[in-house]
Amino acid sequence: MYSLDNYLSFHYINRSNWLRAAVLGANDGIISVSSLAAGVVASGTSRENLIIATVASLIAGALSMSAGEYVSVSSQKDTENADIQREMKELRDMPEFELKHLAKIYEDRGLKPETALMVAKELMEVDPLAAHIRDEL
Amino acid sequence: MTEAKPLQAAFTSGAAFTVGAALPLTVILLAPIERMEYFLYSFSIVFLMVLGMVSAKIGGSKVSVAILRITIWGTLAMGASVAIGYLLGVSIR
Repeated sequence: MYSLDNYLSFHYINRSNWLRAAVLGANDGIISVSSLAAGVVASGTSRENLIIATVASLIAGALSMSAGEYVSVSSQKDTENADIQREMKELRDMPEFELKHLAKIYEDRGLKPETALMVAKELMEVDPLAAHIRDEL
Repeated sequence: MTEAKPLQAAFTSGAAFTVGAALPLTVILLAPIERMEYFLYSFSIVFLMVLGMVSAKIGGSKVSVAILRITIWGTLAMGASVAIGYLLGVSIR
C-alpha cells in the first residue's frame, strides 16, 4: 500500500528515459528491416541473398541506432552541463539577484511573496546550486 | 530536469533494435519466398501491435492508445516506402 517512503514505486515516470529509447529502437528495427527486406524481395532474389541483406541491415541498423542515441543524448547532456556551469557562475557573481529570482519562481507557482522568499532562503542555505537547477532549468 | 544518460540510451536502443529486427528476420527464414512481401507486411503490423502493448504496459499507460498510434504510423511508414518503390518501378509481383 501507499506510504511516503514507497510512493514513487507506484509511478512509472522514472522509466520514461530508457523506455523512450527502447520503443524507438524496436519500432525502427521492425519497420526499417521489414521494408528493406520487402524491397529486396521485390528484386526477385533468392532466399539466401535475402537473408544476407536482412542480417546486414540488422547489424548496421543496431550499430547506427546505438551511435545515434549516444551522440544525441550526449548533446542533450552537454547542454544541461553548460547550463549548470552558467548557473554556478551566476550564483557566484550575483547571489542576491539569484535569491530574488528563485523566490519569484515560487511566487509564480502560487506561494505568497513572504513564503516564497522564506522557502528560497532556506533552500539556498541547504544547497543553492541544487535548488536553482531543480527549479530554474 | 531529467538526467540524460548517453550510454544507457545507446545500449537500450541498440538492443531494442536487434530484438525488433530479429522478428522480420524470423519471417524471412520461415515464410514462403513467393508471397514474402505479404507475410512481411502483415507480420510487421502484428509485431508493432505487440510492441505498442508491451511499451504501454511497462510505462503504465493506456494500452489501446499505444497500439493504435504505433500501428497507424508504422503502417503509414511502410506504405510510403511501398509507394516510393512503385513509383520507381519496382512493383510487387
